[in-house]
Amino acid sequence: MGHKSTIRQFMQRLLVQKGDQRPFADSDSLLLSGRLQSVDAVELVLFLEEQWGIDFAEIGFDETQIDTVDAVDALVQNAGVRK
Amino acid sequence: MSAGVSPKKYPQFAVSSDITSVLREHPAVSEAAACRFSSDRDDLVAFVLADDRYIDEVLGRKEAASHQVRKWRKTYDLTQLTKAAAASPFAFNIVGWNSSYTRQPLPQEDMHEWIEATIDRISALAPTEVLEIGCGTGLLLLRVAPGCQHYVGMDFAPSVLMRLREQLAQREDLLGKVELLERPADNFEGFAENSFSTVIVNSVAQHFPSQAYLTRVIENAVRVVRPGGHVFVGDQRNLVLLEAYAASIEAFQATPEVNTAEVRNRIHKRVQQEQQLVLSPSYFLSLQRRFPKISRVEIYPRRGNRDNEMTRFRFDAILWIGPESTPRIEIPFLDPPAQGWNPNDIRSLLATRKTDAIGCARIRNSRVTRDMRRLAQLVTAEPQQLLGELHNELDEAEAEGIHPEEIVRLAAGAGYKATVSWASCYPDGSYDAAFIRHDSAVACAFPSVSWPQLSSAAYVYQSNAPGQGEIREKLTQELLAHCRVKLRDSVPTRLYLADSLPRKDDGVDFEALLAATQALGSF
Repeated sequence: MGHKSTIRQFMQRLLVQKGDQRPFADSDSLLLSGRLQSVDAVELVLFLEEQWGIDFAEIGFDETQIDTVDAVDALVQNAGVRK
Repeated sequence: MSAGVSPKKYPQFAVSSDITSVLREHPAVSEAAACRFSSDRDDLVAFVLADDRYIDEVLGRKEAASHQVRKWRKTYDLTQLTKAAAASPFAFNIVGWNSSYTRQPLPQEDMHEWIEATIDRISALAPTEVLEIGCGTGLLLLRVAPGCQHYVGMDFAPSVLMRLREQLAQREDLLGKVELLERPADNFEGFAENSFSTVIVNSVAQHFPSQAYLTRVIENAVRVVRPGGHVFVGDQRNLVLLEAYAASIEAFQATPEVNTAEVRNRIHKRVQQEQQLVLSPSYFLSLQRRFPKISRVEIYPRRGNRDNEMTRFRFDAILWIGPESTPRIEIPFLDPPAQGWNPNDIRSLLATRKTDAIGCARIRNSRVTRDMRRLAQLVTAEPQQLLGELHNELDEAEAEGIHPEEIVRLAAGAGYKATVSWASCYPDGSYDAAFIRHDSAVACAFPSVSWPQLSSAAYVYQSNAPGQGEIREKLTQELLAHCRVKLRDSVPTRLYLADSLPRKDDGVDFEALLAATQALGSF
């Protein structure tokens, strides 16, 4: 499975956990739009750290970095994947 | 937590000693009580105090808690890795302090008032050697430490401490007296008994994974504070008002065309899925029985004129350690008149009574009367009624009751110092006020007042159980299955996990248990 579909699947799971079954495009804002909240952002960050070894302490953190599937994918690509 | 619904009269019931004994046999149960209603012999209600060790070790709460702590740690770490955190002004790094209503940063004025109110209260305790658990970016440390001899700040998030170290580097005068430790709140390794004057746990305990975890932290805090000192647990969310808080937020966030049924669902979900530990003042009051080193507990609503979720729904709990040096004041508390207290009643009371000290019980709290009214409206409204219509009704109504800060001001105008307390846990957020003449021999910053007696029902549920829904359901099913095996027919139809089983002369106080359970939620 490619990174993007793994990321998409994870973000979809976060939405479903909140009872949000609405469809979303890879470019749709999920965090800044309020569909996902800060607790979900933390789940996502922990996932990114575990899955691809992204170290936010090193690269800094901004919610726009993880707002959309596209943004997260770009982050993973730029960080250089571990797995 | 109920919307002021009048208490139900319970039909006659009989103690069910067979269920009680069988439940007590189970290793997860530290105490149990069960009753059967005489009007409906099939309705068997059981109340259980669960064994914390069993829940932690066997049902896996310890593991869940460690994941929860890790998540909060990451949350705080992330806030401090942002550009905004790096650019924060000295001693005012409030990144991450967002409104639950708008999800936007809280106004700076609100945060300034919040900090000042906290500092005023802590300074009045005259701290000298301080341990602050969860010191964060130093909002309190950078203000309190200059007046202390030694200040230890503990925090579990490395980037938070990194920001604090950056600030401390600008204050050479503090370098010798401030020590920072990166560790979780329950790690007291290396702290000797009676080694601090004050332990501060401010706006932190809501991120603890369970009431049991908080109790471990407090047990250690009490151990390390010397007699004459204090444990300050500040800015705690009040369980008594959790449902009103949830209703207030959901009503704010919903569009006017959403109907009442949907808003009720959202409120229920918000309360059930609450991620933070929310405590009743009764939790802190009960600590005195558990830890004899605590001589006194006071519960004060937050000070402040700004209208926000901290001033509306939060309180400070202060624990006095060792023998009490302030004399106890027995003052008469007057019940409210039929229409409730108004400022003029209290002004004339203070002007006419030639007394050193007097109290007013159950003053309606104008900070939350609108929230309580909204909750009551949502409980009784037709399911299809639109939220917009309810808003219109509420917008026309004046906020009833008296603001706690107005009590302080009007008392000062009459030559009295007012102390406002939430220790009575009134379900509508009302408070008691003690008025002590400024020139009285017993006047002091924290007068030791005998507040009106708290009902025993208030002790039954002392906190929520964030993130423990599955574990508690598993435990409930395990206990019911145990009863089924042992008793076949006499299985409880309802089983509640309580925090205390209040007693009266002839045994367990079932009236209190049932009343507390009824008040658990309106939806």
